[in-house]
Amino acid sequence: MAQQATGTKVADGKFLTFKVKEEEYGIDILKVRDIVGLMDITAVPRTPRHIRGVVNLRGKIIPVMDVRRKFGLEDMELRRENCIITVMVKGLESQAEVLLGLLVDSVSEVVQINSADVEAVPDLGDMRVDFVPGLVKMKNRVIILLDIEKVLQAEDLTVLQGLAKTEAQ
Amino acid sequence: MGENQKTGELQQELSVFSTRLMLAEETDATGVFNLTQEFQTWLGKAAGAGFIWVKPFEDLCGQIFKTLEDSALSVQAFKRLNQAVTRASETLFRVLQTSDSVNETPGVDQNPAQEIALTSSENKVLGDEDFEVIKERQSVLEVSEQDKDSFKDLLEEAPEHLQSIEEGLLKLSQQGIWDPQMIFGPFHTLKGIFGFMGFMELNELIHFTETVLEKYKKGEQQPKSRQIDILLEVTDCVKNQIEEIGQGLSSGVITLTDCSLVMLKLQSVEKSSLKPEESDDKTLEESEPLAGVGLNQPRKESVDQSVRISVSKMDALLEAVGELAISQTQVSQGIEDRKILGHLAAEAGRLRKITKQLQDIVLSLRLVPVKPLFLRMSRLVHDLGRKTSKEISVVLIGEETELDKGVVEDLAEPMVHLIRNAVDHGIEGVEERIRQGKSPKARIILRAYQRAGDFVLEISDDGQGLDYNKLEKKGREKGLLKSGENSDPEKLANLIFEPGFSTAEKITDVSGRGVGMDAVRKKVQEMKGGIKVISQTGQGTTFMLKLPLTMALMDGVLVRIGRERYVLPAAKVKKFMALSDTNKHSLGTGQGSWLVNREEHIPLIDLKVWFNSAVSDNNRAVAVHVENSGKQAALLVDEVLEKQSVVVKGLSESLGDLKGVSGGAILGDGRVGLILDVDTLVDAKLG
Repeated sequence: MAQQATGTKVADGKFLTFKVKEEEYGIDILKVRDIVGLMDITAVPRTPRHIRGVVNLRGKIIPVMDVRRKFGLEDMELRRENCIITVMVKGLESQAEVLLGLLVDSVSEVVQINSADVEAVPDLGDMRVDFVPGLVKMKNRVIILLDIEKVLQAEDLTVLQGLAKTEAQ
Repeated sequence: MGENQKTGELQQELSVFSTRLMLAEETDATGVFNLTQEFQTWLGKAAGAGFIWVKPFEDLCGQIFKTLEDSALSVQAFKRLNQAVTRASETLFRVLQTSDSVNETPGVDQNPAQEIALTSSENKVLGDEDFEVIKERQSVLEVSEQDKDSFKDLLEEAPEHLQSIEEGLLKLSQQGIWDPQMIFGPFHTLKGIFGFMGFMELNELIHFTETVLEKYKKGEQQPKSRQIDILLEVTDCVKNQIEEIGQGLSSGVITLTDCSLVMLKLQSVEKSSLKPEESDDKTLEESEPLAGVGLNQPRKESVDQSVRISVSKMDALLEAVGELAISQTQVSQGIEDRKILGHLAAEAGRLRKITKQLQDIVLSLRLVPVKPLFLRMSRLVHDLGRKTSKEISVVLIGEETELDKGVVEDLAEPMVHLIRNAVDHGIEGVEERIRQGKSPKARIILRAYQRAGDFVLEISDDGQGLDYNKLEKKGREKGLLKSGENSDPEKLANLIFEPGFSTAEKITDVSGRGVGMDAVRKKVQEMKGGIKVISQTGQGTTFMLKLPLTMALMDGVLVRIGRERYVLPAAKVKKFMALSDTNKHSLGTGQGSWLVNREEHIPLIDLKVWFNSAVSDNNRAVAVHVENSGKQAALLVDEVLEKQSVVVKGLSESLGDLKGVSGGAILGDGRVGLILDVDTLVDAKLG
């Protein structure tokens, strides 16, 4: 039901919202596998900066992407509120689903979003916004919806897929 | 009697024909067409001899011709033809059994061809890929829930018996050692099993085999090579049927492929072996070949009892034990930190011991001997040898060497490639070997052993070896060797692993398309192993595969580099050297450094530089002396922490190919430690 593919259309469905710096973002709940508190992250040498490292998630080793670094924001000191959201994402080439942790400032809530409430992203000139399928106004806040797979692809496919070349940007 | 003679002729022709059919290429539409025509001719003859039941088969031939109009469907047509011939042989066999009168029609099966026509039309709808599954429907058995379990238990031991038989046969064919014990006991047990389960056809087949083999039982005489081949076929047939029964048990309905073709062949062997030699030998009464023989044989019981566990359960167990070990370490750590003494500390010590023991046991569960794999390969050599008319014996060394079950399974594919290659390209024809003063019988040695935490597999042949001149020429042609580049034999030999590289002049049925070796190397690398080729022109070739013993648990040395802890495979660590005790030398900028330790010059790799880690204190730095297949290096780390056995996990594929890191391990405190890949580190420095 909440299967939003390409395009800017967002289907009705539940979204998990989280905060990174001042903004609140929402991702499709169906992609989310787990939310865990901050744990020790083992740095992996020779990987891009936004890959914080790997963690032991109940015996599975999964990579963790720092959303702040990915969005080019400055680092913050890690606190108790920091969370790792694990998501199941599809790789481009292999089409195999992989688990990935997203390091965010904090997790807010799960909200029901109706497609009618989704507004398009304003034209931001050169800024690439295709990974944002839309915005949702709620009372006095704005939730920026994210297509997490597109976020990963944005500049970072090399890391995710181990491909040699970088896609776009 | 002319009549009888005619029948015998028909039978013989059909038998020859079906053998030829087995050797035919199913994708060759013209070939299938010709064979079908021949079958038609035979049917004509049979009809002429008064066998009225062949009529429907003629219609079937018509259908096959129709199918063949589309050459893409030749496989389908071939399958049908095969079915038809099998069915015809079987019917003929039955007719002759019941009475020699040609006028009698088979009572049980009024229209033997009808069934095939039926399945054939089904096949049409199902598409090509389903054919493998359908095969000839012979006996369909429904199994009650209650029988299922006892059947399963009985079947579990069947593969062991089959293995023994196959081993015995191969031993005879390759080493000339005839050990009837390895064959008769297992055959007899299998017969009993099938009889109990109600698979009378299998029971009969084996019984008949026993009868044919009767005269070899005492070990004074040995079966001939043709008979060995047929016996191997019988083993294959039984193996297939067991698989089918196994599959059938889950669905409740067992569909068995018909095995009368093998039976027929057995018969022909038995007859032919009667005529030329030992005509006075009382082998068996032709009139009742199925008389009870060998019933008094003692059952050969297998000595060690075993329980079979599913792999997924075993992996879950391994995982749980891994977690247990982690939590045990944390408990011990806590007790130590709080300086708790006495009873609790003693118990913690016991807990550690038990955990370690448990880990070792669980690990060993995953280890299986390579023997079954080796036997499969000897069988392959046997078959390929027949196909290429080369005489090859196989020597197995170290077949008891144990290896992770998963690795053994993955090993089959590259081994098949290598063996095909050895038989086809390595080993010369018999005349050529004699001309070169070699023994006409070639030899392939399969050798397995463990070395420094690795499993090593060697496949050697005493064939013609690599032609380095040819390799060099080809290498330059393909631009794999730069002009002017000096080429040592090792470099040249490694060319054979390049994609699309083949020096074979003719592409044969067996190999030579230049894809094999490339695929072999890729597969071995996927398994985190390496492959090397050593060859002396004229003398032979040895392929050496090196693989990690297990993927699951590893003894590791924990080291610290910067803020992170890393794991080094303990098996690769030779010693630790305090940097102050050694003399460090470097060239120019300090990039290429080495250590001098007891007259040895060891290249130094500063892991902090390799990993771009922040530079920190270097005063406690330790050089870890590692060795990997003869290559050495000293890895500079900040601190050596402890030895720990760790549960090895793969890193997420999403991290891509990380150089210098082979995987991750869950450490005692639950954190992830990366496992350093000594192979790459050493090679990157020296290679």
